[in-house]
Amino acid sequence: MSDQLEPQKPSNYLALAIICTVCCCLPAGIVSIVYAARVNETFARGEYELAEKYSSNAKTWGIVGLVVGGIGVIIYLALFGFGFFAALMENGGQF
Amino acid sequence: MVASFNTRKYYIFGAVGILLLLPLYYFWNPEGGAFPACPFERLTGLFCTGCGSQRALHDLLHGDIAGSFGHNLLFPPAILLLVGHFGNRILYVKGKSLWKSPLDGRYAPAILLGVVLVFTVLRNIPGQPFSFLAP
Repeated sequence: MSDQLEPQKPSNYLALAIICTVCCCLPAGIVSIVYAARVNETFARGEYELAEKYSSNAKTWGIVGLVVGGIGVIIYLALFGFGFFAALMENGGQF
Repeated sequence: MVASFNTRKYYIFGAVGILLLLPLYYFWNPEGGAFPACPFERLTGLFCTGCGSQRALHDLLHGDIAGSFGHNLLFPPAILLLVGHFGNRILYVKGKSLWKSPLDGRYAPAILLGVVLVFTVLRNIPGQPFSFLAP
């Protein structure tokens, strides 16, 4: 990467971090936002390679949060789902 | 910034997924108590940042904006931010986006981090006036 030419700013995956924070009740969303902030800081300082690294970290944490959150919901529903469906049946299928 | 074709494919998957979920949240009220509480709240007794989002979405779909803010103060603004962001990435005329994404700002992540942390701490403080922030 040349020093004279300013490369394209890597994505900070902030939208992914927001979705993760809203849906998943997981610290991974917060970690992802922190890395998003670091992408902007390092890129503004001209440390492009570091910005790329933080960008991939932000992406990884965002995806980890979504996947862990999704798996967590499935395990949780498997554990408590019987009670959930039993309650549904008692209400005659009414939500 | 115009999204590449590959990225737009993911956006379309996401949009279809959301469209499939919306009727569920319109007809089903999470307030009922049939749905098990969030595992995090059950284990720690704490409200996390996203707590109340499902109820807030249900309220929003029924046009109850005050109720939506009441269940999660940051939920309606978060939806606006995401609509603004993905609108910027998907909708463009002659290769130009119709508006700027609010998430592309230089200090957007830092501001967001501050707001999220303050909100999460405050909503866990019992008693007035913070109980307004609890889900």
